[in-house]
Amino acid sequence: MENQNETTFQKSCLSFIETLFPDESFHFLEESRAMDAFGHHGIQLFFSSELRTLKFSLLKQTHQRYDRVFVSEKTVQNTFFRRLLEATYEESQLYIDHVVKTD
Amino acid sequence: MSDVLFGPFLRKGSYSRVEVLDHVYADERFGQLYQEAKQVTEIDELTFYRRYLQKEEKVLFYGTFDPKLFNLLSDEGYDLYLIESEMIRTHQIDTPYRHKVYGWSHDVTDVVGPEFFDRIVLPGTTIMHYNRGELLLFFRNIRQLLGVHGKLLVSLHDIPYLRESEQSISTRRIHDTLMFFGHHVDGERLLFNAYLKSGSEEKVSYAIDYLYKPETLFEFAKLSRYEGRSIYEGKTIVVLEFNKQ
Repeated sequence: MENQNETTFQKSCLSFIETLFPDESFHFLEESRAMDAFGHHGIQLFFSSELRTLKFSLLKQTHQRYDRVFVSEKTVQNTFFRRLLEATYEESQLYIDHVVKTD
Repeated sequence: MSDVLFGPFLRKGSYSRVEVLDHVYADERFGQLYQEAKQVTEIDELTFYRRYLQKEEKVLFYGTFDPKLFNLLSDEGYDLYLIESEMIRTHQIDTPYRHKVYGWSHDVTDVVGPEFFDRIVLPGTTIMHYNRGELLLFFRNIRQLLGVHGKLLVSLHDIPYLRESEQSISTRRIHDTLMFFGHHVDGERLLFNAYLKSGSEEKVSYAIDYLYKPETLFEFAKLSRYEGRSIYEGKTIVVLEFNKQ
């Protein structure tokens, strides 16, 4: 992702977060690029408030119609991240695909 | 292009009216065709997994895994997880199991922690997608996912059988589109080529796999402290198991 696109994605994430958590104030923490154990490349963005840290993982899709985004959260009570939802990212907008239910 | 396309597919790809896709999953029809071609037909996967997997084990699948098989085995009580980077291939996973489908391994370890899985299974011949450098990284990197006594299961095509059977071009109809596809052994590589024509739309796509003998994988795995063994040797495939040391 080029710099301008990265900034656009970051803004889209923040806008998305404001909708999800209107009562909390989030700030951008960091971005990292990584290759996973199976060889897939992705980008992770982290945002933080006083109550939680949110992680947005972005994976390019080969059809290029949209990117795939996973949103997870970690609070002070949890050791690990908890997945919240899966979304698509197209034309600078995030759309919820489904909410992750873990029973 | 001539190093990835062969025969009639190379001819089609040379025409300006024919679009060449560098990734089979860029078109859903090619993706489905490739996924089918990667599946092993010699063994019944459902029966095999029922015998091989234990219900108390946490099993991570990665690769071309049939969503219906995932649903069925999960219904039967197997504790299955799946990593699938392409969203389009996860839509057939039943809702109760969607939370066990991940896009990449970093999200898995962030959620469940490291060394969580008893087994990692690469269905079909997914392992052949890696070239030698990637294979070395793969064996090293999945250690973080596998438990202390974790096991890895992979399958390989039998190379002599592939060389005998590579000549034929097959056809398949998907979503009212007639598709042609075939394999070609090119040195150490196995080329998958496919062509489709639907109205004025014409496309060619390809995928590259790498041919390995079981002994080669055993040697590679040993460098990352796995002990490998063959658990099935058939006419068209061999199934290998690697134990984390």
